[in-house]
Amino acid sequence: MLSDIRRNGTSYLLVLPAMAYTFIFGYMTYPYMLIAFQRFNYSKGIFHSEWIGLKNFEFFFRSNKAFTVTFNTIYLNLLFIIFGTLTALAISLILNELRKRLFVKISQSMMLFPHFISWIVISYVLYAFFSMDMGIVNKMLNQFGIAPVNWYTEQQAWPAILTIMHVWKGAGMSAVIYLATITGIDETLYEAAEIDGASRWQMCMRITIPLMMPTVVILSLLSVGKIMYGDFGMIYALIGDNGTLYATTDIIDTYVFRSLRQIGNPSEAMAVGLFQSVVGFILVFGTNAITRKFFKDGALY
Amino acid sequence: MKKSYVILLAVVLLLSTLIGCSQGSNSTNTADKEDNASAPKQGNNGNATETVKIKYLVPGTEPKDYKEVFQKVNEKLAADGVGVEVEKIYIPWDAWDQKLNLMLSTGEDFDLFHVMQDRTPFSSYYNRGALADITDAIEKYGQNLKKYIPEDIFDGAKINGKYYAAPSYWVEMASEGEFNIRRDILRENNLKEPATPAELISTWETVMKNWKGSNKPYLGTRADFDPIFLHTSILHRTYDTFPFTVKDKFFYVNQSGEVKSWIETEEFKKDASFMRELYTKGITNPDILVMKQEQVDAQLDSGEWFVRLGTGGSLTGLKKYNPEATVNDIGVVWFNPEKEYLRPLTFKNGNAVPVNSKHPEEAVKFLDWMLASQENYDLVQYGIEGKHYTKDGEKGYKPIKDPNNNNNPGYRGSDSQNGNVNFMRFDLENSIPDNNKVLFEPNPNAVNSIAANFIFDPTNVRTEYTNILSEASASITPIYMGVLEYDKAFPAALEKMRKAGLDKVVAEYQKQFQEYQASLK
Repeated sequence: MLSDIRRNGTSYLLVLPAMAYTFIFGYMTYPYMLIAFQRFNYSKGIFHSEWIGLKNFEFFFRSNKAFTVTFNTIYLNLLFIIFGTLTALAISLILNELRKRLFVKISQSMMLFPHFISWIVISYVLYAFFSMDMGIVNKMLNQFGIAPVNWYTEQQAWPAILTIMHVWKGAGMSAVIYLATITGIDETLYEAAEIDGASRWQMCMRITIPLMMPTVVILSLLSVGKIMYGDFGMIYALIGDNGTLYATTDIIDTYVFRSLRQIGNPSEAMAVGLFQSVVGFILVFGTNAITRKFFKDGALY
Repeated sequence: MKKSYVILLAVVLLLSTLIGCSQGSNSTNTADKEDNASAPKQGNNGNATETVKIKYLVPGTEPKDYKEVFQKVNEKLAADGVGVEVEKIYIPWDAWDQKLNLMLSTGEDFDLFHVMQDRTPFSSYYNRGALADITDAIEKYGQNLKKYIPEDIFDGAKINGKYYAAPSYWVEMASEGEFNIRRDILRENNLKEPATPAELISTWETVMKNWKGSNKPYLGTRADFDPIFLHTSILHRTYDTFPFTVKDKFFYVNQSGEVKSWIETEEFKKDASFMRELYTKGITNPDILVMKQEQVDAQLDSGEWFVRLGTGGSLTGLKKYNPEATVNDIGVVWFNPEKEYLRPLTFKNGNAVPVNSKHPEEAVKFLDWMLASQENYDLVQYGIEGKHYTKDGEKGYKPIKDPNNNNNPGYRGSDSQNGNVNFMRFDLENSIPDNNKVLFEPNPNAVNSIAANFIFDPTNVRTEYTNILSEASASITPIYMGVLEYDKAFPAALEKMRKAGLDKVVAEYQKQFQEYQASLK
């Protein structure tokens, strides 16, 4: 270990900032998890506040919303992961097959662009689409003689709308990662296939996709680890305080934010955060175990 | 060569990681140093006093000339021998709650912060153990605070007989229950001022129909279920059961001391059916549930509005829609003006000292100093005379526009944070006289709600209280805003509220309120 450090000193030096960051903002915060089990009092601090066991977890688990919001968080994130990955894969494969470099460059940049727009801006774009009076969607429905729909009260439509928005925003970025993987595939494999008379479709199915799978699996595994953490920025910007849509769109993060916005109790917030971490931890272990069993190359460890 | 670049990069990265942590401690160090370094000064009263630097946390963005003005403030404080030097720290609105909570919970070093009770009641900070008891400091150094803030309002800042905040007496809380109407638009449509809710709806319908602007003059508000936030309390004056008020969003309290669950009352039902009519007649924006505050503000700024519950609007806004508009084109309307005027709570804004502050007395001294003379007040509120404003008679002022600051004055204090109606000046050319009168002139006939100074402590029912808060925004808001019909949606919504623990919270509220009343006798 020590001799390795001496030999690759510079490389280790590069890791140092990241390690310091993780140490300070990751490990040093661990003691504060204690407050999840305390009635945290600002003047008494974390070591002297009253110990109340699991009482802070009650507000979440005894509410009739715990199941709904946990389900929504996982369900929406699954939709995002599945459709996001499929779309990104498709985009990267298509871009890879295109031969006009200029066109590839332009379309790639355009697909990357939504990634940099904030959800707040997107919420106004969405409003332009779905508002009752001026919305493009309702105007189109009107053209076909269909009565306008008040989209902001149609809870069933929103998982689909949210998934589309998420995929639209994120797929371009993920496609870049997949494209990089494709570029890394050994060219000689394709040459050999060509000599054997393989068509481009066959090369794609037999070489490109199988060789991309480890990357796909690793990225998916990482996403699954965060499946208990909803995209707060997105949901809060797009749904906001619109109660009629909560049944299908309310996630743990927005629920907790709303509940604690006024009361601002750090202990309860920590309790829910802890719950999210524990479930996320179990999920990563679980998925990794399954992956290791059926697809050894893709497992993280 | 390459290696040295890598080392350099690593060092830069490491430093940038750590810089965030070091900054906080650095500034406290310098503050401490200054504390120790400052020489004793001779005060007016002859006692040797040491200048203590205090930090004052407020929401908002720092005005362009803040530093210049507060240098003058500190000079004046020194000249008056107060022994306090103030540094104001502005935190942007969107980060306020989060950042303040974090600073309070980590025991960061500051001495005074602003409290907005319509956002977070000061009792909520108290219940977390975040507030310092400033009773002694107020008794000792708060002569002017006591003089210019009425006693019943000051009592609102008491918990168990001790002061935990200093209220800002900048607004007459009895203004609750009126709405603003556009007189220019009434004239344009040959309409007269509505005197009942039904007339209001029919007048508004006519205006909507004849509207020439590009955006309809919808009811300008965000969705909520709290009648005090929405100012739907304008309707309450028309009910036989008035005077009553809705306290803490969920509790109906009348003047004979009856406390019950607000959403289950007849009055709630009547409010909801009024709002339903607004919604079905197209007066409420069909997308009301997703309206954002910026959209609401933009509508008001564009002058394309007709009625606003509560007060709002400015002459610049009006002129965008109607270039001939004057300050008298915004009028104040009360339904049943002969009925009593009620203050639902005694104070909305105030300032409190965090429990970790080392200088609670100096914080109170500063608050008191602002009310010690008109000169002090003017400096903190309006800036430097001749640069930011000029006096306009005894009670007026003219802001001086600064071309380098979007044509706004380079400095303006905050009425809600530190204002006091006894010292307040008005922009006589641009502000709305009707609104000034109703907001900033004490109403001698107004009475306090008997629950005005009652502070609910939700600790015993915290789980249920948190749950009904979030359940109500999901299931009560759409009904109260008129998007869903009361008869169809309410039974299921009430069922959900009950499941979330409404009954238990109401019972606890009633119990605490009775104890509070008994303690007064």
